[in-house]
Amino acid sequence: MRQDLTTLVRPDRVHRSLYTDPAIFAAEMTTLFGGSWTFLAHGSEVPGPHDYVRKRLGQRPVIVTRDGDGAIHALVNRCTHRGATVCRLDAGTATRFTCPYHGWTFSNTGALTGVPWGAGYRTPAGAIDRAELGLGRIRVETYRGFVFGTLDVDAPPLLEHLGYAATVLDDWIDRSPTGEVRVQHGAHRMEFAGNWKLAYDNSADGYHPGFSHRSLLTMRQEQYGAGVDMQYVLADVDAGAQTVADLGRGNTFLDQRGEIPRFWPQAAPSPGREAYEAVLRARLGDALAEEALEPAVGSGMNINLFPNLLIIGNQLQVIEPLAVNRTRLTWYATSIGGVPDEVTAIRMRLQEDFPSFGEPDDLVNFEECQDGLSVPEMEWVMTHRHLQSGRSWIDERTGCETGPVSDELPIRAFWRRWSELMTADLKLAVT
Amino acid sequence: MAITQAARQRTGDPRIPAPESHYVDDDFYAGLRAHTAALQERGRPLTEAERATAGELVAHEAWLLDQGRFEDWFGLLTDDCFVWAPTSYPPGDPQREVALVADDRRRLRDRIAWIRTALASAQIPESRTAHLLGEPLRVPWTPDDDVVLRASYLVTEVRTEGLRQLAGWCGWVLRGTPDGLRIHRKIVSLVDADRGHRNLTFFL
Ligand code: FES
Ligand SMILES: [Fe+2]
Repeated sequence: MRQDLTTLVRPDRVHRSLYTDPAIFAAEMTTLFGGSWTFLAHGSEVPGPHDYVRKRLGQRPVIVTRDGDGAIHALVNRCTHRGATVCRLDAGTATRFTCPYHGWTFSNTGALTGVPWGAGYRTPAGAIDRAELGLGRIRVETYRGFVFGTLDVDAPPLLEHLGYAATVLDDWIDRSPTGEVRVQHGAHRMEFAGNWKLAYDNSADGYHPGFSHRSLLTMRQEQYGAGVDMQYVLADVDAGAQTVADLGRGNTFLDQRGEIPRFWPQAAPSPGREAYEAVLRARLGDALAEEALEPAVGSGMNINLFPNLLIIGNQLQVIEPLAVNRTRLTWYATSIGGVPDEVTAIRMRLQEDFPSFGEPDDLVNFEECQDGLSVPEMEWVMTHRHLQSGRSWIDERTGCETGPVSDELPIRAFWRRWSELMTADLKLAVT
Repeated sequence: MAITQAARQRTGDPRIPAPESHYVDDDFYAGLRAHTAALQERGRPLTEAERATAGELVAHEAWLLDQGRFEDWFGLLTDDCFVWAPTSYPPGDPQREVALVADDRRRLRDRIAWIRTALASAQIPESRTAHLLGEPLRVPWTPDDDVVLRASYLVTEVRTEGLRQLAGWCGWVLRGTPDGLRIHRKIVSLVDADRGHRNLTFFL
């Protein structure tokens, strides 16, 4: 496969089979998701001692746990006896997991602690070797609450992998006055009949909003006039203040903030807007109320962390590939510390806005891409917008290649990292 | 907020009021939580008289949605209406959790306007739906001038290809107005509220 892959990704185009071939999908789930620093969970999903939450690393079932000392672990949810999953609930609190099949028991750090009728495993050399039969452990590292895992035993430390993406992430997290982010407010779990990469491609695609989101923009304009929500995408966006950037190692960034002088005045009207604004103005005074309301509104940032985390607006979107042509995109709602409860209430309603009026149109476009990409005689997906226009530059402050917002440089950056990982000689292993 | 008078008039429907919305506050959420709890209590069958009013109203509501007559459906709602479809099952706290739908009158109107742009890829072609309601049961609620009802709920939807069904229970708070009985609140609690869904851009 490796040989083929290098001919499928070209500087200006990629081959359709990257979106349609089940063998490539299988290799991605193993190599790409296993070999990158892949997002697993947010620490606030396991807030207390012995909390756990069920996730996937590619398609591998995983349990993310917090032990009694507060340390986070990622365990492969696979019994070492004959393979059954040992954890069958989405989330909860447990110091140990007992496999329902034959009763082997594991601690929430992965150690095998119990084997029923253990005498049956006796050998002339002695009792069963529990140490070699613990749950598979995935190497994890955390950055400010974001938990990533990798099976690449030689992967550089997470911070080195993130590079400038960590600084961008800081900007997003520090919209909270206390730097606290809570992923505890439900999720929109959106499924579409398309390849998972259609979602990653889209997340730093500043070319599509004026077209794919025409319904939302027209509705806003008709109902509320100009200046509300993201109507800045209706004009030639390359003449505007948005940018895209290659953050390295497949991580990319679309920055809308140049078009958003103040967030609250330009936010989409949502339930609770007027009532809670009035409460806050009365209680805090105008200046403090306006300050508190700013982070109620989406961040104007699309931070894409290879291969599966898209932090957009106020939500964490996690790409969950189900099959080569089936994907679940889970939008975890968030709240932040250091703001009044009214801001959290507003924030819930605002995080329903794009899932209602924006994303559904994109998801249908992804599905229609998948349909179109099934045509064998039409082989290529073009990725060359602004490749040779001379519009991109190396930003001196960030050190990142940066371009006008419709530049497809993020897509090309994704494919560079994709090729690197898919053709590398990675040693993938649990510990 | 840049809501101009001109924008207010651009609603396209003279029955639709200006786009301010002032009623979603802490008291509102407390009321919604109370209604949600009451709706999970045991109910009783409707009387003959209630069937002719409340029963007819919820059946008519379903019919208008299935016919795509969203503006007429909108006319069945009170000025301070709310439609809620949680992402949790059973329903969690609407104030602290995102929902599939959590719309006040203004956002419901936005939803209709959004479909009517005829530009929404997610509704080209438009969904066809068939709402099927079980027998409505009236649950205890004071003051009893509001009628609080629950029914088993099944909606079948088709858009491009493939029929799908969403099931659960639906609750209504019906309120008398000078124009007759209207829908004050509607709660759709889907059994798979916390699981994956494709395109949910039709009216539940
Ligand atoms: S498969 Fe788990 S104990 Fe047998
Ligand atoms: Fe989009």
